[in-house]
Amino acid sequence: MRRVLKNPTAVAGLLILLAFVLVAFLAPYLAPADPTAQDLAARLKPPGTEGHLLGTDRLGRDILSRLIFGARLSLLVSVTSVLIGLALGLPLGLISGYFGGRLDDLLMRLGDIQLSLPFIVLVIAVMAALGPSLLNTILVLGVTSWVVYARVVRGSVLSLKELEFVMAARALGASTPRIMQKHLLPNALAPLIVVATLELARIIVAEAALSFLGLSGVPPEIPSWGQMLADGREVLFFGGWWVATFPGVAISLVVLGINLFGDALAEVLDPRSR
Amino acid sequence: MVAWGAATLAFFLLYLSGDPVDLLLPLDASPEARAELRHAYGFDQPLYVQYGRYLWKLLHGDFGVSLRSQEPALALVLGRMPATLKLAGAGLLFALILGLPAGVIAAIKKGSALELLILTLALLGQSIPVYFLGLVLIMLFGLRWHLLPISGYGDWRHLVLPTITVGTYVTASIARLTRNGVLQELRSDYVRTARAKGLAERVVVYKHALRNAAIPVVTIVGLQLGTLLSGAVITETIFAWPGMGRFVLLAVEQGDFPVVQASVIVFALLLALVNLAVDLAYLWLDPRVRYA
Repeated sequence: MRRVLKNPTAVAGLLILLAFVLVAFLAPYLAPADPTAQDLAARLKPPGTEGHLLGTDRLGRDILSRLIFGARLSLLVSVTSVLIGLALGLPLGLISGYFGGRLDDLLMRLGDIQLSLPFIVLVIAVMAALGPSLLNTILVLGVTSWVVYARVVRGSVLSLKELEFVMAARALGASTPRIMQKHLLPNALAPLIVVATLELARIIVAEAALSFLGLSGVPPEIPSWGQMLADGREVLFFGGWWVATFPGVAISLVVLGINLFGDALAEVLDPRSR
Repeated sequence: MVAWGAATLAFFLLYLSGDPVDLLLPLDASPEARAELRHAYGFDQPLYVQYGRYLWKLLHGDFGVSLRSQEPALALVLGRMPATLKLAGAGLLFALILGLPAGVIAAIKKGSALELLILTLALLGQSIPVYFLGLVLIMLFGLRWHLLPISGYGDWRHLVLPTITVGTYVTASIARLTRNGVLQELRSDYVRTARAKGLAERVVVYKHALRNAAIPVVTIVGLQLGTLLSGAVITETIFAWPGMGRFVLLAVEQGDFPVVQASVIVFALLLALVNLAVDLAYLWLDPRVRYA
């Protein structure tokens, strides 16, 4: 970790990430107004208007407040989706890599088939079948990401399981679950952390894409950056550039932060780059 | 194999929601109509019979009928394919033309301000989501400066903004990974040998390093194709581009499930075909693969 903190771009990324998390947690204290309060007298006010630092949207809602509350949804969806993906992908990758054979073949084929579809088409089709809802969005984004984690863990396990220390553990009579838990998992963790970090960004972008396309099923009373972008798109032609711009910048900034931090993490954790 | 997987996925999509009849009929359909449809589509049969029938029909090119227009779903989807290919192709070309030289320059000029600029731009390009980039381009080039059309399908001018939108992320990825690939080659033994022989730096870079760096770059491009198609789906929606992506979204909105199924299968086949092309590019680039 200290090596990461010596890297200025990594620190910048980490600061952006921390700010994002803090804003999400402290939203009620930070937001100047109720993010859902409509004020039809103050519709589409440009940034800098009295009481609305970043302006208002078509229904007169305060953009800054919606932005701040929108961070909560992005954080919630991305973290839970990554956890779901990890909960599925990690054990499947361990089993697949350790035992190999038919099960491994089957799982990896399944992954190939899933990856043979453009991600957004897969998600759209599943959402169309399940029906849009916030829970379904989280489930779909989480469950479909199992492949990424499974592949990374499997790759690490494949190279680790032939090493002497694993053989030694086995010779000493360690059970398979114990070998997996105590010997394989800790050593496979480093690349997994990098991937999970970068996945956070991918999920945030994907969730906003679904909201933007009107497929995420996030209730309208919950502010979401993707929904704000969709709102902004509609008023673009009436000169309301700010409605879409601020949530777009927010998403880009958070993704940039995650990418900066993730890349630095990858560099530090990859022994080849030392 | 891929086709079969995608077909199976599309088949089970119908059952994800519980009762497939719900997806195939309007919500206010009468119980008689539901029962009739259930029988007509064979939903009253055991699952394996339905699955067998479904695959059999697919093999004969029968992808079902659009619930809206009653036309064959496959033909409808294929009719939208040229527009998608045009957009994705233009995006890929844009990414290659811009991303490859940028990556090579960044590697050769390592440590320079130019490298920093390229890497910064690439990082930004990877961080801005497709839909936001599209909106920004519309705001600037379309609404503010009135330079380019912001929606529809026509001459080359209609293609400019969607191409940039689709291509930017891939451009950035190609530039970054090309740089890493070239740097790695420049550090290798054969490059040191070539330099030691007294070859001009230009020859070392262009004749030796770049040729070998081309192989990992092809891998990268191959991996980016799925991203490119995903981006195309969203871009088509933003720019009202009449391709398969916008079509599948419309079908979702209208609850036209056979069209969604057909789109899923066609997208999978398309990606499989392009990946095959990438594998063939390996053969051409890497003699080791050819002789193996």
